[in-house]
Order: sequence, then C-alpha cells, then structure tokens
Amino acid sequence: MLRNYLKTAFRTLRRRTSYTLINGVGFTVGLICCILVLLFLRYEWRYDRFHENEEDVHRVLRDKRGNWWSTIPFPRYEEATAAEQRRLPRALAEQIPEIQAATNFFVGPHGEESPAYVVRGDQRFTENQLLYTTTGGSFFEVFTFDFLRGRRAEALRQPGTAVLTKSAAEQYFGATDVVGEVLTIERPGREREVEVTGVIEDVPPYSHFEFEVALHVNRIQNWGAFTYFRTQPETQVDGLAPRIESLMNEVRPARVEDPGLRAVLGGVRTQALTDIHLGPRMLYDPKPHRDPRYLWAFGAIGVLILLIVGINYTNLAVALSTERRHEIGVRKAMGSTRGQLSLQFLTEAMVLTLVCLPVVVVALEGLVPVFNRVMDTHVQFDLLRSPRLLAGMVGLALLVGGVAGSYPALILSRKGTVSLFEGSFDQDGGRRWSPRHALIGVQFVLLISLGSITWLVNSQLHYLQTKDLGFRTQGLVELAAVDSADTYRRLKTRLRDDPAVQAVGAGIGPGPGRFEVTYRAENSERVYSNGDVLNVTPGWFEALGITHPVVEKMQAAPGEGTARMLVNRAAVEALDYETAVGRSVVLEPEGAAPLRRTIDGVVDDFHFRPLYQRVQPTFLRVHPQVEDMSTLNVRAALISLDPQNLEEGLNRVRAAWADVRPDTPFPPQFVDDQLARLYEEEQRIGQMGMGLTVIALLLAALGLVGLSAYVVQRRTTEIGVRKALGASISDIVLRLNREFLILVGLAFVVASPLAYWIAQQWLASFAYRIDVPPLVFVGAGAGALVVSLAAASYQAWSTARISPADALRQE
Amino acid sequence: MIHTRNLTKAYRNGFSRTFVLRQVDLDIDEGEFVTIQGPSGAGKTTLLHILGLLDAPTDGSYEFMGEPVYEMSENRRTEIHRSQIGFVFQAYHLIDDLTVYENLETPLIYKGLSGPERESKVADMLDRFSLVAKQDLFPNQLSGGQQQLVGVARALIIEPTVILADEPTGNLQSQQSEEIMETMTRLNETDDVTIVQVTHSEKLARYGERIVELDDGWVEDDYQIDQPEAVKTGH
Repeated sequence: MLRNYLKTAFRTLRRRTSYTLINGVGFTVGLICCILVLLFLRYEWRYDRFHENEEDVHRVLRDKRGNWWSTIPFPRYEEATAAEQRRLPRALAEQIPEIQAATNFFVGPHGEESPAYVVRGDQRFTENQLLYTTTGGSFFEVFTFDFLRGRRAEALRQPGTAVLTKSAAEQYFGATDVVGEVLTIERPGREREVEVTGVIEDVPPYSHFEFEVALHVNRIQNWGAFTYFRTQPETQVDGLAPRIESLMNEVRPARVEDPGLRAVLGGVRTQALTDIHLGPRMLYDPKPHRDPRYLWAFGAIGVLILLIVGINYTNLAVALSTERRHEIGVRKAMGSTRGQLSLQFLTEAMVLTLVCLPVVVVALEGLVPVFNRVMDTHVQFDLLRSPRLLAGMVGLALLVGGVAGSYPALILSRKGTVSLFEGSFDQDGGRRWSPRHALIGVQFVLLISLGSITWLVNSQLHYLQTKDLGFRTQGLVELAAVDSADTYRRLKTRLRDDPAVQAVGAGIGPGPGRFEVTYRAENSERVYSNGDVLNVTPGWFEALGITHPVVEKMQAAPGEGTARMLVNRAAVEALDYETAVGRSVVLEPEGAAPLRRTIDGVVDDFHFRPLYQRVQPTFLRVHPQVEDMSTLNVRAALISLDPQNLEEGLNRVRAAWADVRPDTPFPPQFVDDQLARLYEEEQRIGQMGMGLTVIALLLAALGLVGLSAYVVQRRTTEIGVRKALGASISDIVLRLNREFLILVGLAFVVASPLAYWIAQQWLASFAYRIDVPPLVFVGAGAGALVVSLAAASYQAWSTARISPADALRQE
Repeated sequence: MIHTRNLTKAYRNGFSRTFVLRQVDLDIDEGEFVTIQGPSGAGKTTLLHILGLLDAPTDGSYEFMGEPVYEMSENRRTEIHRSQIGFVFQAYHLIDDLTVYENLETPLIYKGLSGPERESKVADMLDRFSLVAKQDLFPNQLSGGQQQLVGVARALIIEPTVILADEPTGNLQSQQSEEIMETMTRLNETDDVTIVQVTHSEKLARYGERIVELDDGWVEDDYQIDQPEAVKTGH
C-alpha cells in the first residue's frame, strides 16, 4: 500500500513541475529557516545546562534600593578584606545542611577596567578572561568542568594556584601537559606568580561566564563577584533565601546594626543557574544576556514561515485537486476508504518535504557559520555527530509535510464521489468565500504586519545609529589602556604638537557604563542611586567638542586652580534646583566618606550611555591636570583626530602609544565603533529578524503567484465565455483581481493595529525612539497589494489574451 | 440482487425541487445484462451512481444483495466497492500517474491482497485482455479503446458480482466500441457477471438482453430484447 502511495506521490510531483517547484522551494526555505531558528533556540536554552545536576545550582542576589546586586559584602566599596570575602560562601556550605558547596568568582578585567596580562618568560599575553575565586576547589564542586590534566580534588586548593583551559594552556605553553608550571599574572600595579594545578576542557560558549584562567586568590579585587551554591538534589530552594539572608546578617552585622544600611536593603533571593542567561543582566554579569522576548520573536517568525509554507501548500494542493478529482473519484469507487485517501495525500506532502531535506542539510552547512557570525553565537550543526539532530530534522520534515498536507487530505477525501465525476466540480463547493480565502487572508495579514514591523525596526536601528548624541564622535579615538597619570602625561606630550591630532583629554569615552553612584541634594534626605560620575580633564571636553565657560577658563590657564564640578541638566532636574550654580550636591551620602561638592556650572544633556535609558544625572569632575585625579580614575584618554586625516592621525596615536608603553599592546578604538557596539544585540537580532522576515515575505508572495496561476487556470473557461460575450482584457483582469483586492483590504484592517502594537512593545524598551509613522502601514498594505495584483494580473492578462476558442477548448 | 422500490432523487433548487429520478422500481437478477437507455438528462447516470452506492437516494428503498443500502455503514459500502461492484466509466478514469499494470493492481491493493496474489491476478488479466505488451505504459500512451479495455479489466479484476458501466463506449469510435461491447457480452455469458450499462445509443443497447428506458426520471419501459413487447410498465 505504502509503495503504491509513494509511487503515485513521486509521479504526481514529477509531472507537475511548477507545482512541485513552488512547494519544494517553499518547504526547503521554510525548513532551513525553521531548523536554524530551532538550532538557535536550542543553543540559547542549553546555556549553563552542561553542569551536572545544573538545576541544583543557584546564585544569591540581594536587593538594595530596589536593584538586585551581587553579594560580596563590602563595608566600603572595594575594601572588604580577604577574610570578609570568604565568610559568606564558607558559612553557606557549613551552616545550611541543604547546601553542598558554595563559591564566589569574578571574571575580569571588566568593561572599562585596564587589561590584564599573562606572562610566561619573555612572552606577554593580553588576557581578558581571568576568573578569580577565593573559595578554591569549591568552585569545581559547584560547577562541572572536565579535567584533562590534574585532578579536580586537588585543583585550586591553595591561593596562588591556577587552572587553565585547554586553549589557554596551548596558547601559553603550546601543550596541555603543564601541571606544576608557573605563570605570572600582571595587572596594573600588581604582579603575582601562580602555579598551574589543572587543565580543563574549554568552557563551552553556552556558559554565562567564560574564562581562560581560573585563579585561586586571597582577595577578589572587585566587589562585583557573585556567590553561587549547589544544593542537595531536590532541595526546595525557595525556603533557603531567608536562611541565607540571616547568615548574611551574621557575616556582616552592619546589615542589621546600621540603620542607614538597613533602610535600603530589601531582602535576598536566589536565582537558578539556568535562569541567568535569559534573565536581566545584572551589574557585572560577564556576558550579554539574551532577552527572552527576542527568542519568542524568533520562534514566532519560525512558526510564521512554516505557516506560510503550509498555507501555500494547502492552497496549491486544493487548487490542483480540480485536476485530480477523477483520480480521487475512481479510487473511492474502487473501495478506497477516506483514511486511505487522506494517507495518500499526506504521503505526497511528506515525500516532498523529505525530498527537500538533503538540500536543507547542504544549505544549513553553509548558513550556520553565517548565522553564527551575524549573531555572535556558536550554534553547531554537526549531523554526523548528532544522530538525534538528524532524527529531529526528519521528524520535523514529516511533521511539516503532515500538517501542510492534512487540510487538502481532509477536504479532498471528504468529497462525495459523485461530485468528483461531475463537470461542475469546484473545490469551494460553489461558495464565493471559503476557508481557502481565509488562508489567503492570513497570508496577507502576515505580509502586511511583518512588512511594517520590519520597516519600523529598521527605522529605529537607523535612528540609534544617527541620533545627535550631543557630542562629536567623528574622528574620536579612545585609548582604554591608560592606567596612570604618568602614562597619560607622556602620551599627551607626544601628541601635543601633532597636526593630525586636535585634542587630547583624560577620561573615559561613551559606553554602557552601568556603574551608578548615589547622591542627594544639599538639604534633602532623599537619596538617588542613578548618578553617573565622570572624572576628566579640560582636554576631554575639547576632544568631545563640548564647550562650557568654566572649561574654557581652565584651558586658558592650563594646570592651574582646583578641580571644578559641572553637572548636566538631568542632574539639575533630579536635584530639583532652580539655579544649580553655587549650590552643592552630596555624592555617596551613605558611604564612609560622603563627598560634598559645589556645582560650578551646568552642561546640556549628552547621550554618553545607550539610548535605552534616559540621560542619567551626570556629575563631571574637571581636574586641571591629570595628576590631580586619583589613580583609580585615570583609565583612558580621548583623542580627537583631524577628520580630514584620520588614517594619519590613527597611525600617530599608535606610534605614540607604542613609545609610551611598549610593554602593553593595546589598540586605540574609534568611539563610533564602540557606540555601534552598544546596540549590537539589537543590530544582530534586527539583521537576522529582517532576513527571516524578508524570506517570509518572499515565500508568501511565491505562494500567491502560484495560487493565482492555478485560480486563473481553473477559470480559463469562464474567461473564454466572457471574452466570447465581449469582455475586454482589462475587464477580465479586474474581475480576477477583485477577490484579492477585498482580501488585502480586510487584511490591512487586521494587520495594522497588530503590527502597531507589537512594534510599540519593542520600541518601549528604548528611552529614545522614533514616532511610528502611519505611512508605514499604508506602505506595507500597498506593498502587499502590488505583490498580489502583479501576480494575479500577469496570469490573468496572459490567459485573457488567448483566443476564446482556445480557452473553451481546454475544458 | 438489485431491488429498488420507489427510488427518488431530487435536488433542492431554490424554493422548488428538481426531480432526477421518480419512483423507480427496478429488479435485476444475477447474471442479467441490463441496458439503461434514455435521452440526455433522463437520470441514467444518477441511477447508476445510486445502484453503485456512490450516491444516496432522496427517497425510496434499495436492497443490494438482500441488504438494505440505507442501513449500511460507510465501511460496509467500501467493502462492497472492494469486492462486489466494478465500475467502467465513459472517460475511462484511469489514474494518469500509474502504469497499466499499476492501474490494474490498485483495486487489489485496496482489497488487501498480498503481493504474489496481486501479481498472478494482474498477470491473468493482462493475458486475457492481451495487454501484456502494454503493461508498463501510462494511460496517455494508449488509444481510447485500449484505455477502456484497461478500464474494463480493472473493473473485472476484483471478480465483482456486478459491473456498472456508464456509457462505456461513449468516447470511442464504432469499431473500438464493438470490441468493448463484445468483451462485456462475453463476460456476461461466460463468467456470469451481472452487467448494468448506461447508454443512449440504440445500437449498443442491443448487446444486452434487457432494456430499461428512462425519461425525465421515470421508468418508461422495461423489456427483454428477445420479446420486446413482453414487459411494459408505465406510471
């Protein structure tokens, strides 16, 4: 029986070339997109699931002033002692029986920090992925990494030991057999030797933290470390949070004793390891997280593409059934049951999808690397090593074929035998409107809504790239490796008289900068926590093209006077000052040493941070010379180059840097590029989403072209009769298009609000965004209209042109 | 084997009803060769479809092989199609995508026969209708007469008790027509297959032994050809 079905299916498909081609292309492209989306979703879903019993691993977050933070207790910012840092993880493991092991770690250097180096002999490697933990071996009890060399139980047991990944070991030593070897880790002002105690497999890219070197240190230099713990299997972790909180109070009594601190603490919660990647990115989380809304969006686009492909198939198969009605009738008269007929049509659809599969595989081999490049992912497509993937793909192909084929199978097998033999056979049962029209309507809704959403996303992305930020970015270069006043001074001296360099200033460039300071107005108790502090020299303003009388005065007398304080308009507003100049602001009012500063001037708001967020209240501390800045604040130099002479200028900066710090290879970065990187995720998702959407649009258009061809073919006799009665070609084209016109109109009414709503949801995540122009929807509607009219009209026109006699003879 | 009483078929057409068959009483015994004759639109094809369980009457009763048809389940009808009734169509209705061999094999597949059984039956049939040389051709590679020969072979291959033929030679030239009709007569005579054919050709009607004349849904006449005046019914 199956053999017979298969045979019929193959022959049917071979004989009806255009039908097979349209559906084959549809299925192929649809499967490619869908599998790509599935691979991507699987990749994202697999994040952090490679650890043993990953559901038993959690981390601790604490609420301070409504924000969730990491948990290294720090009385005064970075001043927690080694013992203080160790207390919490130790207490967790010792005093809560459900907790098997606890660890803390920090991966750095982070963001705007200076780079670190791994030194072996006379070789020096920049290394941005150093993992610091004070808990030693517990780290490997909480997280699972496979040891290639050394033993897990002995790794990282003593401070001053390290574990390398395979690729790090190969980079530094050219071998993995390096247990017992010694490396030097160098960070500004600090050097230490570490002994290698193990080599592990590389950390998979689907881990929310990656590292090349894990270091057991006495003290983590950064307070942004999170505390993680592993519970006994099947522990209800919800019940642990209050106990963890009381432990934290024990470890750090100030949490209870200090009324000021108590007032801002909001409690403790735990976050499952597997929820981290798709949750909001916390301060100091090392890698970008994925907004699950984008995953939903991708999934939705994947489903929509399959829907479109399915509708195309359904429409064409039903249209084609006119041609095959006798076959169906005969089969029924010979005793085929409805089920057998359905199965035959299903087989046909499934055969088609299976035939497409090899093409899909080949295409994916080529496309997955492209996808990874665009999305910055490491999605793998390795059929040979993953039989489950192959089985999954075959299963998906069968499912798609089955679903696409089910409607035709159902309605064709249901037809009364007699009606199949009669000349007046019409798959719509003679009704003017049928489910088929609903399906085409859905296609139009998808065309219009996807089209307009794509348009809007594109506009917003363009807006992000081109909005006037309030400072000059062209020709602006940041050197982020400046780590001391001396370095800066020498660099500046080298570049001062260079004609290709316009200005040099100390201070960081624009970026994500999620570090926030607290502040309050001089005579208010209300503390705000969204402040941004920038420590700069006057040259920084010059480089950015921001002018202010206070700065100009300082530049007129270089190096003289004291540091001044400028604030932006957002700060004035937050402080609620009518005239800000002369009044003061208290920075870090709850810290050990609150700073009271008098405001010397107000600058206009400028967008130094991503456009997701409103411009932060910003406090600019302008130092007459770099030596006045604390070492901690000397982190980068901004250099503005002559826009006419960028290449030359960049070479000068490179050469100057190589002279000043030959030991620290570090490339200068164009600020434009850095800014573009802020919206990288949006750009990536936008590009990929756009690609998929365009494919969806093309598939929908393809389906409409195919369908109209069949519809017109079916009405050839009608066209012949009408022509014989004197209808002109345009009459006929119009008549054949009327159906589509009505459908596009209805679809427009449904799709516009839908698309508007979805686009609004997305745009709401940006503080600065475009207004949605209504023209977009009209444009998308018009586009859908043009596509359908073009498709139908061409067919109608070419059919209408043939002589009535020919048209009638075909019946 | 076929007994109808008061068989009526009507279509609702706006507010009025259009009758296709009116109170048809028909009794056909096993082994008969009956020709249903009448002008276009007389209801011949509809009657044949109802007799072949492809269509249901609006009113009246129909017993097939002693079984009331209106009580039959869908499955029972399918079973009868598989084993009792063979259809021959005016337009042959061979399946375009299957070869001659496969067209003959298809009803046997539905009947659930095993591969070797099918093979021997198809081989028999090809032999009997001298189609062996054509077995791997597709329908569009055959002449109309050859196609209809396949059509008849296909109807016969399930060894039905009755063959229902709707204008079996309507699309054929006269010489081919005669060949087909002679084949059918031979089947009737030697294999004792009951044959009900529909035609509007006087000449072809002579091949049967009994003629039922249909006009505007009424049975106008029902007589044996040997004694054309013997049976007369009216309304």
